[in-house]
Amino acid sequence: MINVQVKERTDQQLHQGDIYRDIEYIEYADIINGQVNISKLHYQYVVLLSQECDLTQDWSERRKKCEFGSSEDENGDKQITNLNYDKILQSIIVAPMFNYEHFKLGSHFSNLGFDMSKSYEQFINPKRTPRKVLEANNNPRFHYFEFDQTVPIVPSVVDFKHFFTISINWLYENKNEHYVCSLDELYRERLSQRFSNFLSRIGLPNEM
Amino acid sequence: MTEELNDSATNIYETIGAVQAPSNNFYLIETTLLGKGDTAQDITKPYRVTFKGMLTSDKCSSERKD
Repeated sequence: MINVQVKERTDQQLHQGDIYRDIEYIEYADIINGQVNISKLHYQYVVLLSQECDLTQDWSERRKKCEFGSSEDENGDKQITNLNYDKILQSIIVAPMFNYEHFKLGSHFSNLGFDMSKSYEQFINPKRTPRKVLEANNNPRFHYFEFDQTVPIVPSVVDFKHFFTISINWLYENKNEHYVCSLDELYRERLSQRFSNFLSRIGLPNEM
Repeated sequence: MTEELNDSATNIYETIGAVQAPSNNFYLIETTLLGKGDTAQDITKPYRVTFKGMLTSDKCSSERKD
């Protein structure tokens, strides 16, 4: 397995394949009769899966809004411009990256009360085929990452059954605090294609 | 032999710790870390944080951003 190549982007745009740390998924946030209830799940690392072209178009329209949205004429009145923001995004798709050691033990969701150890035992033995298949990224449900030593992330697995969305506005406001690195294009494209292939699979009924 | 459901059958989440509750003039917030079976929370795994609080002042306002 060749290590995943990454790079550090210096621009301010969000990109497909970006890896972020300490991202939270809001399960619910409501106020009922004066009582505030919020529940959120914390993930150590996530990878951004939304399409790169959508992110680029969103960024382009945000730049347009910055440049023209507040322009004023010589009298100080706001200029009316016929800008539309058809391609501005509300949310982006991310997938959690699970520590591979936790994953092999089936304990990566143990904090939430879900024990998966029985179904994941097949991945423990390095000589067994299921583990080799997973690490070669030939198991359609999972995507395995192994990084160079310069990257501060342990070997990790994305499970395509687990993904969620976060607010793009929030991430733009807090990007610098959470950004880790970005997958190189080739590795990003492979991840993106495998994710879309898994989501578009046709499920047949189980045998009775 | 009694056949009663124990807590683990009716509630898979177990409170294993709490952090100090921050508060201000408007909210009193209680924060708990939830998990099952573990005596210590491994924060490199996904974990749940819940906030429960009551409005403690009548001075509650909302502001709409356009």
